[in-house]
Amino acid sequence: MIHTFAFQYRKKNYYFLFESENSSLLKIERPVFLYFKKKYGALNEVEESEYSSVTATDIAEIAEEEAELVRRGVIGVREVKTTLKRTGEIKSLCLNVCHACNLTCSYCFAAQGTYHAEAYMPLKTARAAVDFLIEKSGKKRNLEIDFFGGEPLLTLDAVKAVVEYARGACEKAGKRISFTMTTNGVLLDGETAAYLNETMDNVVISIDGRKAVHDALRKTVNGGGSYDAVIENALRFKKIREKKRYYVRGTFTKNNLDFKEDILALSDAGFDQISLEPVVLEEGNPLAIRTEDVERIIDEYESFAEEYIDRRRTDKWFNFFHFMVDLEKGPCVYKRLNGCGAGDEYAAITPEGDIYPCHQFIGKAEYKMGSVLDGSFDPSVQKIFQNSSVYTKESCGNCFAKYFCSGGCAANSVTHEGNINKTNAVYCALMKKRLELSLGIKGVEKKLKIEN
Amino acid sequence: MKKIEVLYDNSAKNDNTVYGCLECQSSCQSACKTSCTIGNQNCLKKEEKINVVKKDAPVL
Ligand code: SF4
Ligand code: SF4
Repeated sequence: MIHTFAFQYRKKNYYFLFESENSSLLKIERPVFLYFKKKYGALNEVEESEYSSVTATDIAEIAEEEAELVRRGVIGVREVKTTLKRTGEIKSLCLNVCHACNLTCSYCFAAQGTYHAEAYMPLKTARAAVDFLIEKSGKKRNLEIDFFGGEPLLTLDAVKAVVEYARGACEKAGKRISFTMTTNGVLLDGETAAYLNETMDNVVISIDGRKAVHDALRKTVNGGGSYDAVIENALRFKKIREKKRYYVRGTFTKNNLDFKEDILALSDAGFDQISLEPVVLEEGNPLAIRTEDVERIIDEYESFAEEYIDRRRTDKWFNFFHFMVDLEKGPCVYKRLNGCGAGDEYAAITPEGDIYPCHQFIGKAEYKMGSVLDGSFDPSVQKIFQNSSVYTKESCGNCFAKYFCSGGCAANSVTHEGNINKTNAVYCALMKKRLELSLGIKGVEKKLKIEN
Repeated sequence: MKKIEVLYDNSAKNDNTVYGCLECQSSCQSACKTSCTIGNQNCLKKEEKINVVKKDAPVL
């Protein structure tokens, strides 16, 4: 489908046309923008009156260019619905090596890391989880384990044991395995950093941005701020990491809707791989993002987008996770339709060995899929997820963002709408805006390069 | 005068592509992890220009 949008960079308006069916991106003049917006959407009163002054010759020229682009297959591409491949193979595990944490973050979805019952995963359970992954992976060759918690560095010895065991078992089974970790960084000392650098394919370190913002919500068990310890560890890690993958990632809440400052603070601190995401909390929680915050957040994203382009033109280049789009070699359509794969090709294992669709479903009894310890596995839960995709979500069918969003986060849908096939309006508004901005950034950066 | 400038032309994508091995990295776009989202994901078979399936896709 065709989607048009405007993007502002340093007081100049840019207009774009995006063909969602093949991800073609076109820069268009204002009259062309109005032409397509009228054709595929609706003009407001001001635009309508402006459009009435576009000459018939101009409109004829636009229509001619349009016809040529449709003929070449650049735009106006018909949607082809494909059959989804559902093999039931699980290729990726979120291994909750412990449900315990040395921080007490106010917005933690996992009850301060404990999931309401502190626990550490015994080695026997961890091994059973690895065996479960290998067995369930069927024909898949590339497997993954993400060390998660709680805080996985509280039990580094278990992590090391799992890495060793999984490497051996995968080698025997003819599989490749890669590891990732999500950590709060408190225990990321020099020795640990060296180990993670050597073993982990990606390391995600949680930092919320400005010190005051971080310390207000990410407190230690003693009630003190954790920023100073974490930032030092994270910077040390970044230094040894060189070209290998890492991210610093933060959460913004109702308390810091001026989150641009937090992203820039992370950039100023010296990080070049940055993510900052809206908190996921039930409405009613004082930190939760509400419908009335959306406009403010969109303004903030817009203002940040301009600053982002500026910085990327200097030696302060950095990458913002939510503005990454690949318009040349993105993943295939199956991936795009399925998204994260939770409950289908991805599962989370608790310290007790219970299997859930993903880390955010842990503790929701109706979504428990089985146990790696007793070998039970209930395919009916997996079916719920296999039967859900962009195709099954009503609002996604006509959404230009669908091949990038994949219908959104299932856990988010359950938290907010009580149904994995329902989408959340706040989530969608932010997703669509971020995609427009990402495309706008791509377009402007390419344009500036051409001009230079 | 050209009023439309094509910046990313994906018209020729997927004509002869093998796709759908799903060997790529899993992704989670939630607020608690940043392993991956669809946007930043690549296909493992880097040489392939895979985007959205068109011509040779099995059709529903
Ligand atoms: S933004 Fe919303 S409507 Fe669009 S694909 Fe994502 S979940 Fe569906
Ligand atoms: S359902 Fe949401 S939280 Fe769970 S893996 Fe998918 S994107 Fe992540």
